[in-house]
Amino acid sequence: MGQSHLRESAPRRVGICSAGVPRELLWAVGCLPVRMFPTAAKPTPAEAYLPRNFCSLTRLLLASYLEGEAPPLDAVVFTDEDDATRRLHDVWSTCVNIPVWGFLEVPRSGGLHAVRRFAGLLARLATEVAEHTDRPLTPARLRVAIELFNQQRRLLTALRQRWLDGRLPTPAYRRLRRMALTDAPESANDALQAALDAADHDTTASQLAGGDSAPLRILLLAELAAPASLVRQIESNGSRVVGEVSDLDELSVNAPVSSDGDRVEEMLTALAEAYLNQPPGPRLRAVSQRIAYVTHLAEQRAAHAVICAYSKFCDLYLAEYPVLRTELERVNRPVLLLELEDDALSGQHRTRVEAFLEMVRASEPSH
Amino acid sequence: MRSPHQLAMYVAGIDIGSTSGEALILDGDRIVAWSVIDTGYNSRRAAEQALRLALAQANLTQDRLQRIVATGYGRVAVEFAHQQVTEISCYARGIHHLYPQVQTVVDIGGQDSKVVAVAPGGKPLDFAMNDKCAAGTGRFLEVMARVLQLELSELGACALRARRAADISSTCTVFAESEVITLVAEGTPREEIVAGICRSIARRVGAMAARVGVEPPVAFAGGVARNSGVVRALEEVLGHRLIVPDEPQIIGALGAALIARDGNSP
Amino acid sequence: MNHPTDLKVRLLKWQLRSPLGLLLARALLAGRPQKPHHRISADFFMQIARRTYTSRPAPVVWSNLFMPSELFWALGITPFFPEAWTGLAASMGLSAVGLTQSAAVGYPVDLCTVHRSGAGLHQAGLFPRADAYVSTSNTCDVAGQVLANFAHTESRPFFFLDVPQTEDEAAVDYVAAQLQQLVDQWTATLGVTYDPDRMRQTIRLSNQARALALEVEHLREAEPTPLRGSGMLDQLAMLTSMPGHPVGVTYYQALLDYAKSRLANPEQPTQKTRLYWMHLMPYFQSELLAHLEDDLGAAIVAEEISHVWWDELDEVQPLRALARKMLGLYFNGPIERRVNQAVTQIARYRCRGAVHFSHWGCRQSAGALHVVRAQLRKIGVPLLVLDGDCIDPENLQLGPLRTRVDAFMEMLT
Repeated sequence: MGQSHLRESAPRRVGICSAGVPRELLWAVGCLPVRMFPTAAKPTPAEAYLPRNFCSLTRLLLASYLEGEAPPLDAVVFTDEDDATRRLHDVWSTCVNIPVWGFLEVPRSGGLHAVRRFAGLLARLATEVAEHTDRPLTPARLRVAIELFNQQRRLLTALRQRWLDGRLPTPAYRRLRRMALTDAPESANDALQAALDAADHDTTASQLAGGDSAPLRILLLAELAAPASLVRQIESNGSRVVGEVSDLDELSVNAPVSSDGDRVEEMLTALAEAYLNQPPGPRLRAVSQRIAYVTHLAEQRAAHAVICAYSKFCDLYLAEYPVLRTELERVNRPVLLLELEDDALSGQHRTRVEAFLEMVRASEPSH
Repeated sequence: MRSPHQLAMYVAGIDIGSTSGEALILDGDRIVAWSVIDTGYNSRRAAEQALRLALAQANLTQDRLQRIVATGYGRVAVEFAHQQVTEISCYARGIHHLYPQVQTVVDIGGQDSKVVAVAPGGKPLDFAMNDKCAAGTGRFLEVMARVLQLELSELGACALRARRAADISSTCTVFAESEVITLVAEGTPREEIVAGICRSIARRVGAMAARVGVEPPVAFAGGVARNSGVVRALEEVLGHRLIVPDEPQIIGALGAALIARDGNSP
Repeated sequence: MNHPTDLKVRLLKWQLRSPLGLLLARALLAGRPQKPHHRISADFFMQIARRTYTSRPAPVVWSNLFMPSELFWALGITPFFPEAWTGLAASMGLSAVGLTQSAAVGYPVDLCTVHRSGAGLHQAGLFPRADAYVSTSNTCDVAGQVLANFAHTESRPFFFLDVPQTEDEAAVDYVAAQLQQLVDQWTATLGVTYDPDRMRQTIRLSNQARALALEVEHLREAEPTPLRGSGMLDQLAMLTSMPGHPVGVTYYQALLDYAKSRLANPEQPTQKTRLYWMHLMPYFQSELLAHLEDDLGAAIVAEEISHVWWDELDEVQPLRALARKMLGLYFNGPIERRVNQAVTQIARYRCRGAVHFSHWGCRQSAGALHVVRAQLRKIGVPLLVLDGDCIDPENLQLGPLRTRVDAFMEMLT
């Protein structure tokens, strides 16, 4: 069974703004799930519909679509991810001419009740979306989709290791991860495989940081993705990024999802289980779990320090910050918080990052 | 036989803003005189001075005024006024008097900006004002003019000479100032920076206008309406040609005077 | 932890933790002229203070405002709602203490001051010790996170109730199942027992209070309206803490009797324009509402947050009933719920305009006002949005707000 029966018509491009929406599901009902990224549009046009003191990522997303600068979409699926996304859903139809095909509630725990509920909600979403694509969810389609995205997970895991080993530059790695979130999985997987092959054949170590001393290792925390400008600044400063806890990288389903079973319900349950038990983000309010995850990752990657690059007014992430910072500092990992209006770091932010890296470097014995 | 002076019914409107104050004397439909001064730090004194100047121009004394209405930021301090009315009502009334067909009026003043939807008859239908931020106001232009070593009156013509507008991304006046300084240091032509400043203010006000809903014809009043660069930028943002009164600064005082003339309810 | 040295704070800490101190406060309050229902509510909150700060006869559980109070009372738990007590602290001029303390421990300054101040007041030792924490996922992101932070720091159990956005039976099942899990957790960790008879009695008391509150709502339809709206904007604290406790019945009976007594002699003598008020208000001393009511003659005849939003509770299936109560909250779900409630109330109370007090930092309430404004415009009702702060007086500029309020009233008259 190949992909041919899925390619009877071109998949409809459906925008999503949450890591909680199973992309396999959308693919199986004839949609290309496209993670929505903001463009370089200014947030001002969005202020006609959302308050100015509102999550800057959400305002930027809306502004990108208002200005017509974002890649085209046939529809969007929203979730109840956080206050900002819910309100974006509320105003969307009044100002953007892209229809909403579904609203998916993503439970805030991975327990039995939550998994059961989520599986039911996924079935409902599939039905709602399929009304537009005329491609109902079947076991065969879902199995193919799961296996396709499992393949992608394997490739991305391998690429992550190449990156950590220094055989893939950070910008290239991030570009590949972003491509995986926006492009058709078949072509994305081909590109990922090609990149993996290239990395494996490249015997030269990647020059990720200049200078004589070992680079300072920085763990990034962000929501959708840390700004490319921040990553550039860190890595041109004698440091390197060794992990990014964001939807772009770590906060995704990393392990393969089971495609066992003959019935759709079985596979939906597996999807629900996988997506609800991803590495924890703040939406779960499972503070101990989240702290344990972040500190473990910092230890595993031998990170010297952590930079939280959050969107301004992004309450979910900002409200957990004090405790996260306290716990990280307890294990000798200084933390810098940046509250960003957009992807371009201001002069002030650049100065703060530079000063932070200097401070960490000065306090590290090996530096 | 009584002179025309004796037969006239004179009323006055006083608009005390944060930066400038205006007084206007009306006789029926005829604007007899008006004045514009800097408000300074004492709103009451500014009101007295503005009125005194207008009265002198009209060759009148204050006791000849039947009624005085005060508006603007400093209206509460004008104790000698018979009534205080907000500038929202006064701007709607004033612009309606001059241009009865106008349905939306935008005012960018020294420290605030507003958009008012005007109902037939000149009453406000809805309005929006800038939230606590100087970035969409005349203050923003003042700060930038100082950085660029230009007079406020020179900004408009300067902007119109630009072939493109520089990108001013900061939403805060203080940070935008830093940005402008950086642009100057990088050699960006001054015209482009000024055009970028005008566009920045227009976009901020445009977003506010969208909350009220912009129905043409649209008028642009207040001191900043003298800035042709902002006029052009605002026209681009709103997608409508703007009607700019000959004396955009006195619209509030005119509206207040009309309310003084027509009785209690604005 | 830095303890504030301010004398007022020290005195308050002594007072809250000392049985004598609380008695003194109670005596002082009793001596002041108070409306009958205010006397009852003051007494109730003094009781809560005693039970949470000093005597602690039952486990104390911190909660956000939208956990159903019936559950606490049925289990014999004393609830502590930091959001409500932060409002009270604001009225006592203590916001600066809370905000300074929370900034010192790293809470970003753009977060809602209700939660920031609460975090800071707790840091300053002004709030009582918790035996456990619980939060619902509605209405806002920050409430649950701050409570989760405390629970982690203090190694206390924390339960996070995931409340869906829909109200169908599957959602009721889901929430009811979580409530059962919560009951199981508390019986295991807090030493409380679940007694079905006690739960039934709690539900009955809640329903009685609800019926009385609905009568009050009905009385306020009168023209002129008997009660000042500014005096009703603290109703959220009553509606979220009293149902299920005997005081709920006493309080609402007293409020009803008082409202009846004011029909012929309204609290607000001059009522020119009837308004519908959305969201909250400044809880610190502010002239805003006095200016609106007394200077401009605006009568706030109905408030979003004082409205009984839930149906009579089913005592046979109490957890499902409580689940429905939580799911039906107007702040839950899409903005249409608030719009529909507003449209209904505006028609019912014959309101000429609506005002939304946008608390700075409250994204969930202010985020979609564009939709609210547009929908109210369709029924010919203008909406005034006032940007202010419920807790931080430095974040509320009276001058610009007066201009907006004055202009709005000019528009309506």
